[in-house]
Amino acid sequence: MKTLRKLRFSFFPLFFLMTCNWGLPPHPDPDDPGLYVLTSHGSHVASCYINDKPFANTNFYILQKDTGANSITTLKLSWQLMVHDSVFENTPYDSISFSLPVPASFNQTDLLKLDGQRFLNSVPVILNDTLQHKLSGIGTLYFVSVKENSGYNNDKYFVLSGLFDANIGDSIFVSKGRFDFEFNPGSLNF
Amino acid sequence: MVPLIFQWEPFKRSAIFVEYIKPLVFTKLRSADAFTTSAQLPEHVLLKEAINLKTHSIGAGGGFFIYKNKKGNIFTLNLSGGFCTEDFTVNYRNYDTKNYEVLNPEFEQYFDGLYAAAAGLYTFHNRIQFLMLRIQSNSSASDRFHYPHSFDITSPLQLTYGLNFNYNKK
Repeated sequence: MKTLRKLRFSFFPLFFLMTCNWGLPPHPDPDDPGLYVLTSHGSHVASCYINDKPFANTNFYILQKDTGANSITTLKLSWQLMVHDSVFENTPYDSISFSLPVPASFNQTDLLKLDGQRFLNSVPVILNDTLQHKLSGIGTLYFVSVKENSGYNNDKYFVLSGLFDANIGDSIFVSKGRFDFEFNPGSLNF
Repeated sequence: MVPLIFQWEPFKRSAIFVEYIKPLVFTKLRSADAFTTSAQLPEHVLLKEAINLKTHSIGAGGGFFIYKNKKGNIFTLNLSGGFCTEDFTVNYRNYDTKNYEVLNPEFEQYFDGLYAAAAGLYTFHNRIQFLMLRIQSNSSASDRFHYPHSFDITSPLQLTYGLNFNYNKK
């Protein structure tokens, strides 16, 4: 029978290296099926449960300052709703918007001051269904992170990340919402 | 990380060897931020994030004689290649997943692929002891993952001290 010719055993390391890299994709949340995790990378994504059904958006969202009825100025954050992973499935809801009251002088510098602010059960919410009905409710909007980043050619852009939930009437519950949006300052109307 | 390296030279007149590397990795601990919209709970809590790595490498290679001095001490260059796996596990301690969301969480991640390694080996003290400086490439799996983890595939650079155990054929 052949035996080992030589066995070498070593230990006592003095150095090791680890490398790192970065990217910006949304990532599914293993704890909440159908939703994406809360990130602050500018991943262009929002997701939530509406009556326990997952909805996600990975492209179409708007941030704008509106002057509506009674001269009330609001910062409106809205996005389209799609049933998660199925753009072809019929959905009862088309879009959702949160309207945060702000001073008429609200500008991009004030936007950065929203960082870390939580508006509890006080933000008017409109849920648009696919029959063009506007369903009103009240929600919570938590700006976990609002920051200004530099991109290629030193272009500045805003990254807004946070959490939301809402009650629309007595029968529609928006829960476990999270968003991570990126805005070019030049595209904002304030 | 404490890498344990086993090398077996099965042939008497050949410097071909088989290697197995099993690093013992210390848990990386750091803080993570979690947030909630619940009015009944603190809006922000700090969690303890624990990242562990289990990694194995197995391969084969050959040694190339470079230098021998009057005392019989030998310096060789070892080149090797093989297959390696790296399994990162992530745990958040006391994480209330129902009410809180971790900002930019880490995820469990498994990599496997091929590696290449080079080592300078200095054998001394009647060829019983040796010093080895070894560098191993990261695995060929590196392009498949794009989430911005705080960790990535390792590329270990190791300076190790070790012992040779000789066995004779019966």
